[in-house]
Amino acid sequence: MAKLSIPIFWRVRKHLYTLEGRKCLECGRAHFPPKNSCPYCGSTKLVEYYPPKKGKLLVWTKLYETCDDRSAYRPIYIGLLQLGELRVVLPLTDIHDEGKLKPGIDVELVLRRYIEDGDTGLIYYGLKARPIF
Amino acid sequence: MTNLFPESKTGIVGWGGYVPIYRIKLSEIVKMWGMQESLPQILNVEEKSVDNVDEDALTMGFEAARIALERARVNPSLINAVFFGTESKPYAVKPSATVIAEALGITPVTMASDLEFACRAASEALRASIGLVSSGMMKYALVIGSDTAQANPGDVLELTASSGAVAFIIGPKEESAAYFEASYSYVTDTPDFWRRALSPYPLHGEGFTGEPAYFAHIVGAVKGLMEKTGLKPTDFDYAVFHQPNGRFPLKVAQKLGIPKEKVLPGLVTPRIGNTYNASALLGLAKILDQAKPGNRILVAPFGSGAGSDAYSIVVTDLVEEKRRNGTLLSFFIENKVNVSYSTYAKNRGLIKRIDGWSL
Repeated sequence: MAKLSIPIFWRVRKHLYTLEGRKCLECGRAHFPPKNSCPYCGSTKLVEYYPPKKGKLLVWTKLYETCDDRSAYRPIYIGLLQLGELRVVLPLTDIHDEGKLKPGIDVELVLRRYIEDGDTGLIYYGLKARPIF
Repeated sequence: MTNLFPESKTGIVGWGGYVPIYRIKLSEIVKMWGMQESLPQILNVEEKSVDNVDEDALTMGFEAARIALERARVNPSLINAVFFGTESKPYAVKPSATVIAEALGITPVTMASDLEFACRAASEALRASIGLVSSGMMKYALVIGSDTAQANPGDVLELTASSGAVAFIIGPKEESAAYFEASYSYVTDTPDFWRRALSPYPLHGEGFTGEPAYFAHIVGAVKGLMEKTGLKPTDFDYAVFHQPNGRFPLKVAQKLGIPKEKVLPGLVTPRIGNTYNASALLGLAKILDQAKPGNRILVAPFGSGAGSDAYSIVVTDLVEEKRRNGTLLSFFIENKVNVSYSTYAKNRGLIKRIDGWSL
């Protein structure tokens, strides 16, 4: 099994824990993951933006094919969410009734396990979205 | 009596409880392992909570702490201690408290550590935090009790060992929903329950779990608190004891002369099982979700090995406003999905697989 990169996760840990994005002071739009210039208007005048912990589900899909490390999580549900001014793609969790998973339902951010580096490596945590059925 | 003890300078500024959505009925476990069918009734537990496959003590602790922070409405950077009480920490070495502190924006100027004392570590953290805040060393401290309790499959412990988390932000009395009047600890070396390093499941010294451990220590702590303060059982409106099952808390209340009507409002185990470090403190969270200003609460967590702490807590006028700012514990208790033993076994990592795969 390939070893996961410790520095990559360490660098993005705050973004995984808080979804810290950026908001453009010129055009007012927010984006995630944070970039040094606005992906909409190109401005470099950006400030940190933290989305609210509740939002809406826009669309979703599910994956059956996963790497070994995540086979216990199968199928993996992925959602495009509207969180305040941010649009973010995040894993969905606590899906016990797929029939209720409809665009427009409320979701709430929760900290969960993303992936583990085998039995002895690090455990990586990040925010996922839990539908409020 | 209010200002007699240093504890009375401090109180609970915010509180939060979390229970995972999944439940397994005890009758399912009984059937699986051919146990005596009446055991769920004897234990007075109907079903127990089961964590999802991507949850652990850390993630549940985060969720409870976030609710506590929403109620406290304090700047996270003013919290200068994060204590995580658990006996099911995700890492043997690497603190969970630092991950939660980072995720909540409390880092870097803070104390942070994971404490272990079976089911009582979070209560020890509570007393330590009262000391840190009342001494003026810091304004706020965060205490988390969280467990995904392990049990040997087929052991009687498996019927109750469950998952849940609770968190309290301790701060000045003036900002508190409830303040501490006094506290008292009672600890001895008792071989009632243990888990050796690298052993996946705990064991218990059968004859020691009841009288010499649970009952002796809780009675010792509560009687000590009453002698210290001059309070009587009738002075308390609610009583919450550690809840290894649905029977022991009622029995210890009887021993102390406390009517069961004062215990039942904080009894969560019959619905969700024994959440270990969260057990009694989740009961306290449930009481804070319903208590009125002026109510006095007796809280006595217990941990094997063994020890108990007794607290006298008085609810203030701020309780109703703070209650509205966070999700009530009853939401997590009522919002549930029942699962089979096979789903429970998968989620709890009881199914052995190989090659780069683990829970």
